[in-house]
Amino acid sequence: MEISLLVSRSAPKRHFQDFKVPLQKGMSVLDALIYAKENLDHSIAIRYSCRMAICGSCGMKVNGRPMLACYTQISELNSDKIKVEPLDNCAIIRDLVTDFAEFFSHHKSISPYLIRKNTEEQGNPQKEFLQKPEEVEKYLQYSYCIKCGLCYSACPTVAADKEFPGPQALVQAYRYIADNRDEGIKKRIDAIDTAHGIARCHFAGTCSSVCPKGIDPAQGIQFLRRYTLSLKR
Amino acid sequence: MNRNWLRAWLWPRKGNLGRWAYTMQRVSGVGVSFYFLAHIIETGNVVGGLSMWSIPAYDVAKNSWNNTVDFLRNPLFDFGLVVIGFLLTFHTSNGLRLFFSEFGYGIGKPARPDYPYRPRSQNMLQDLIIWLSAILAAGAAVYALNILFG
Amino acid sequence: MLLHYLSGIGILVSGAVHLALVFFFGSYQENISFDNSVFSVIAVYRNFAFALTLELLLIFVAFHAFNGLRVILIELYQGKKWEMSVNWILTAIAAFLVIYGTRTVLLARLI
Repeated sequence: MEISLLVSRSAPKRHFQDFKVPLQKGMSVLDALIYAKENLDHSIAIRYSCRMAICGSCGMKVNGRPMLACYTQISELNSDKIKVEPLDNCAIIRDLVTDFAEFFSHHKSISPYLIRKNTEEQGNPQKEFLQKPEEVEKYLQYSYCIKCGLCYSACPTVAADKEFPGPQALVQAYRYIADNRDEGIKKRIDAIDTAHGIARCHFAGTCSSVCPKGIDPAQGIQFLRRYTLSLKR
Repeated sequence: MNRNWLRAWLWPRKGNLGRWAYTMQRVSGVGVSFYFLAHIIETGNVVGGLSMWSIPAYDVAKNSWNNTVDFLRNPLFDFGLVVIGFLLTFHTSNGLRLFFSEFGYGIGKPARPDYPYRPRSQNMLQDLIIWLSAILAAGAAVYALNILFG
Repeated sequence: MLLHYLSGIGILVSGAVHLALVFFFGSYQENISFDNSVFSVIAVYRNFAFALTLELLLIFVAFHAFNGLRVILIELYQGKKWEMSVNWILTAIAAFLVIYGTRTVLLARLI
């Protein structure tokens, strides 16, 4: 049994190249791409690493929807034509490899680390910071982000607005604000409460429907909105 | 750059229901805005139109208004009103859903994610309200058809 | 922004009154006539409460619609010059519509 793998190539200009890959039981899209690269055309450019949905490297559009290649079984796609393209909203370096510089700079802009007023405490801790299970529940879901960029690629606002931070940066801002160990709420709210910041999210929810880790950025961003509307401190 | 806003905004083929609601909210909003512009200009004719900035005579105003109503008594404009009724009802109902969701109601609570990782904010309530908005909009269109076309 | 949400709720309330006056009371043909019935155009303008509702509806819709259009336009393209011109032009059109509509209400009450 063979499947037809249509890979988006970028040289000399964007076109699709068809590879016939023999289907084995349990084969993922990444397995099919590695087969094509090893046996059919060595020049396919592709990023991958852990092959178990924890590193976030292999994000790409499979049959039009952003997915992790290692995490998507060919059998769950219910088709013998698999079309693979690079992620939207990121510049294409080559074939399926995209440039994540902008994505990472948006993430850095919300200070993705715990901020404490007492700076000496982190270098010289005296005791543990106790946190109750209820306090952990408030931010735990959002801390599983693997920075794969699927939500960034699925968001319709990111597709139009270059200054919008994207669902990943916004939900990570909420992850730190909801964490009761953090004291840097003002700095993060100032970073996102701009004309092109959180106000440009319109709850389309596509980010949540493509996230492979179940983080639900759409939900986190709506909770974050209350801080900008001065309904919560 | 690999950004295609037109395709992302207007043709979200692999999107969830909330993405289609986003597109429809924008399209209906723009449509109703243009109607608003036309409506203010049109109702301005009840006192005699764009050139009248002092108290008009009763008959001048009455003639100007009756001319406007006769001009608009046209199946094309009536059908336009039906479409506007559809778009306005959808925009209002979906807008109410967004009002509550964006203040944090109806989108579930954060909890530990477990396989198959379904997002709690894209839940049945949200889908239900979007479909309800579409049904109410269709109902409004039928009601308008009834009134305007007998 | 908060104002977009609040003006939306304002439109819901005052718009419901406006639509009820035109479509639910009396017959549609009489309600769009000049002065024939108690819900006709001039009669509604002469009633202070209804005229106030219409005026508030005008202000809320002008804000909500033009803010919405402004959001769509600044998401399409970013840059200081573009954003400034979008703000000025949309504010000007919205202000003109509010002034023109208020003129209609005031003059209609004085006919």
